[in-house]
Amino acid sequence: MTETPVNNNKSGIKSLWAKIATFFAVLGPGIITLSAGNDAGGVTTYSVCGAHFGYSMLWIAIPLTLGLIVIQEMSNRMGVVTGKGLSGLIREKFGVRITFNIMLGVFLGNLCNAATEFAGIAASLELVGISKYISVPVFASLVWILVLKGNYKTVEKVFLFGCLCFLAYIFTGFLAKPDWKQVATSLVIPQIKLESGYLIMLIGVLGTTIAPWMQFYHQASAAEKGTRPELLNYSRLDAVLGSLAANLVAFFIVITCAAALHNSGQRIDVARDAALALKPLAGDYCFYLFAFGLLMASLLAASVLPLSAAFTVCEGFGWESGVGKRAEEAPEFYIVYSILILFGMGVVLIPNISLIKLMIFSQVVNGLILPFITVFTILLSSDKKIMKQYANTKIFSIFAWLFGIAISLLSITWLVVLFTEILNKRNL
Amino acid sequence: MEKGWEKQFIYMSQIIDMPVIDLSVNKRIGNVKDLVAIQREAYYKVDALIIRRNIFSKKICLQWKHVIKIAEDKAVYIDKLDNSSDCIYAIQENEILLKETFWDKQVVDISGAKVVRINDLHLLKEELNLWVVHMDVSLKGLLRRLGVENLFASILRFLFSHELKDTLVSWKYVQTIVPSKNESLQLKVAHSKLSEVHPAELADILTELGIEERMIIFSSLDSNTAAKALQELPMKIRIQVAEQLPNDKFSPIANEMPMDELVDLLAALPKKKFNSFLSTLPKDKVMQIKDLKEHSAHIAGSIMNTEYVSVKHNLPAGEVLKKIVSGTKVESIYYIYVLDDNDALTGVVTLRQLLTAPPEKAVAEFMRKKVIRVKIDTDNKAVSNIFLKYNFDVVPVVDKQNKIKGIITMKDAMESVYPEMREKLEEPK
Repeated sequence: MTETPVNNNKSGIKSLWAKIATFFAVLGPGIITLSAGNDAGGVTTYSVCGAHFGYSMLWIAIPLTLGLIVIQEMSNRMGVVTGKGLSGLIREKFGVRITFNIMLGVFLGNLCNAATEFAGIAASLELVGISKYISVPVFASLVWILVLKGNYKTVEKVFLFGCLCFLAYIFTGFLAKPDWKQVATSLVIPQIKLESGYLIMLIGVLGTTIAPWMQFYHQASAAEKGTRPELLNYSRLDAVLGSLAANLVAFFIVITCAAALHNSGQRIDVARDAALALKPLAGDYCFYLFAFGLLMASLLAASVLPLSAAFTVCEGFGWESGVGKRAEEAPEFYIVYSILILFGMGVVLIPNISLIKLMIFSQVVNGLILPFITVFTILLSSDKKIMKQYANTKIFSIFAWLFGIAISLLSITWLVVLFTEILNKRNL
Repeated sequence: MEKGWEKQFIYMSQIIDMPVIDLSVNKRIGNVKDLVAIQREAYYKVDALIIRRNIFSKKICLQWKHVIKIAEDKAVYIDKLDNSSDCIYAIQENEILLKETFWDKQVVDISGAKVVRINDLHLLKEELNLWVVHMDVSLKGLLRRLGVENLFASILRFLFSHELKDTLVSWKYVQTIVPSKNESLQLKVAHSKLSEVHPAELADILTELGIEERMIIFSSLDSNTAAKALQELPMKIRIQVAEQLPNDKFSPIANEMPMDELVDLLAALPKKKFNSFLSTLPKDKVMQIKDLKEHSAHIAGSIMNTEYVSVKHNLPAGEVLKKIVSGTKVESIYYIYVLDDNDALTGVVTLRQLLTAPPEKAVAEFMRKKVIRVKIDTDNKAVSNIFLKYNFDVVPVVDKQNKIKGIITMKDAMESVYPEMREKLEEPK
């Protein structure tokens, strides 16, 4: 009887365009979160991995990516279906005490992360001769203003644009002329060397790829975006593609440094060293591109991570939060965010500060809370009361628990090995 | 010593997890895990307690009448564990568990028109009766739950001479968000409170809530408030809410919405929902909607509202007033359009004229004959210019036969020409 069609699905092509349009409308949370995961700490870790161990760790790329996809998919789904953030859900299900401990970990970890990001900004600009005493305060202020005075849409657009710059690393990878046959074999054939250095690196790579703050931010971002649960599949695509893209970038960083630096036996400590080392061995283009990628990565992360921490903490404690709110409306949010930025900025400006130690500390804190967050995420996304018909299916649960337990065990192992190393060094 | 009327306030965190001592056997039989409360007028009264011996045992429910002493922060004393009152989860329809329902959950603080998270419950201890009178949303409450309130308070006092303050919100101003299991409970509390909140603030609250909570609160609103709040929501959320509303709930709300807003909303809904909703409407309304939908977005016909007052030219002023008073909802009552015998637009009278004219005088005698009007296909920009030129708030829209089809308000005209203005207002905060 009703003749009037609301949509005009005349041809298959039109509906394909409609689908693509829908995808771009929900795109954002996944890509941004995962790209910000390749921050200064990440770039450093991957560079060191490639320079010191060559292609020998590439085999972890595929299982790691799968694990990442599983976890981020859960975070995304929870955000879309409930419209709430992870700390809110944790508080409602597990209570205030657990929430408080997690918040403490998130805040401490992010204090160090903030410092690392600003260090990345400082380092990349120092490579072209700009002093950190200029670059860091300028960018810190820019980031502060953008996030607190902008609105969510603008901020998201700026972040998305920042993600494009990671292409620089992919180009760098090709310029470094790696041995593709070796890359391919290393990708598929696992080789595990049971030496502590190798293990520490391996788990360091894991820790930097799957970080707790990513689960908080992704879920909060997905909830804020307001995608309808019916469009969950498009949103999932955003999460999957984001994970793939981010790990692809990491992959290229590893092979760049492996190709250019591994054979010459160069030891590097920070991403900066990696960039510098690339210059004589792989040419000027490589150097500049790498440095540019580092700057962009650090900027994006410097904007995203403190914001994520501020949202998480405020939500966990029931304080007002939000981009674009006035100071009177959300005082705690302002305070937490400003502390993070100020700390990050301040620490970097201290002369002769050891940023490596800061990075390791933040990785330790992240490693400590990662198992808990992973387990909570799996428990929450399986809860039918919270997720209704979108709860984990049995098959998905099995994979999720497998990855979750593997990640948790690896995290704990790393902490143990690391502490043993530190104690051994002390005893020497 | 005179007992008198003992009145005291305690926090629920001073009772939960405290040991329960059975005085008939002088032993600890478990710890307080939760309190069962029943609603009495505006407040909840504690009716029973939930006890659990240890992590492995089942929870048992004991009637409050067995409690003979409450020593907050220490223990709760009962006279005996009456076996016949052991009930496992036998909670009645109108009873709720205080800890499970409220602790760490979000509620709406109506006095502040915002969403808050409950850190603790403030109870009135009236002899042995406990009443929930306030919710604690302060940092102090949070610290108390974590057990570090005293430590923190002394540090603050020492360092900054600052006293931590309580932030207690009276239970009268609390709108709970309880899921459907307790629907009857929730409906009783709902209506009166939330309708006092301004629709724009309601929209802010709804925007901030999670998806399920949003629907619970929205469904508890009366149609009028719901329609107003719906219009203040950002488009994305408006669509989400409309989509999740069952048709029987949506209909009365749709009735209260101005036609142009309703059509915009319906057009944005997914096909299935749109069609299923249309099928519940009477035929003439469906035709109205389809008509409005068909007009392209940039002409008067698409932004007009079909609810207006029109009368025949020979109707006396008194009758017209009666018609307005008894009539259905219209967008504007200040201009009444006058039709000739062919139902064509022939004049307009203002409400002021109607009120001052003798009631037996026909409107044709004092109406303004020169009516500024626009056609259905007049461009939006031209419509806006008319508002700029002439000093009125509403302009009628006519078809080719000069029959009035709808009216346009100045707000609608401006918004259509400056869509950026609309988007700015809707930006998520």
